[in-house]
Amino acid sequence: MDTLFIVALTTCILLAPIAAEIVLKGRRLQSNVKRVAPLYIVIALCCITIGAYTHYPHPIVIVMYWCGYFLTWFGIRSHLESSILLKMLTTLQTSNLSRDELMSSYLQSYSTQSRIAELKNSGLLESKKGIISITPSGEKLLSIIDLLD
Amino acid sequence: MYYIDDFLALLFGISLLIAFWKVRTPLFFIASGACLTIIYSITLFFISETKPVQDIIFYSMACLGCISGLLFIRVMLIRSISLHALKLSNTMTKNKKECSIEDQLTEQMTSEIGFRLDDLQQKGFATLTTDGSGQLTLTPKGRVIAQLVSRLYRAIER
Repeated sequence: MDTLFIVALTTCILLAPIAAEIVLKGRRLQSNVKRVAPLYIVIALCCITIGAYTHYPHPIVIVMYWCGYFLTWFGIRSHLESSILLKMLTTLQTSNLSRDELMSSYLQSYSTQSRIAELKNSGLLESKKGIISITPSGEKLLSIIDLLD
Repeated sequence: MYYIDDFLALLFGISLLIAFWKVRTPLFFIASGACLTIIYSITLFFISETKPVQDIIFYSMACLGCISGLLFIRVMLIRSISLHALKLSNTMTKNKKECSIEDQLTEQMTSEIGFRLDDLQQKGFATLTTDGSGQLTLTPKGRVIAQLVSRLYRAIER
């Protein structure tokens, strides 16, 4: 394997999550995938171009590698921001709490209302006359999920 | 000239997506993904034009990356409370029910948090304090993970 390609790939691997954090600016990943996905596509294209330049022409392999990398990063990042267990671990770091206290502490930091607000912000839910309903884009997402679920 | 490598990679990608679609249990998906990677690596070694071992390692890493990524997506599909909220809202919109989804979602979140609290103790991350107050405290293993996670939180919440 060409050294230039390895250096380029390593740079891309390190650069992508850092650039994604800059784009996200502390926002939640799951509701801002649209901002991050183009970034990963651009970096993947750079990788493929360098691969072609260094005569390591396996574009499908590079695409596959990059898809795997993106999915893994996405999974770890979104797991970090939404994992109940990890949130509880960090809460327990500061003080000992009972089960009920831990539960109410979690619900205070990430309540039902904030989850619904997040879904509204990402355009998947909407509020009409005080009734929360699903949007067409939410329905589209659910139809994809139904196929996989 | 490298068509075989590309064809094999495409074949692996398609096979993995079919496995993801058909195999819904995470553990079975890991097993089927591992089998596919082994078959792919052996096939690459014998019939492709990619002979150096480091190339095969690179290809296998790509496969493992795809498997771990899809595994995270599967776990998310099973556990995500926000996705459940979306499904709940869809069902209620279709059935024209006007009651709030918030109550149902809070109920679901409470039961989910209960399960995670059990996990916290079962996996040895936290234990009850010895003074009999019924409070939970971190075990040494839990403390190490909590420190690591809080550092990661600081990095992503900046």
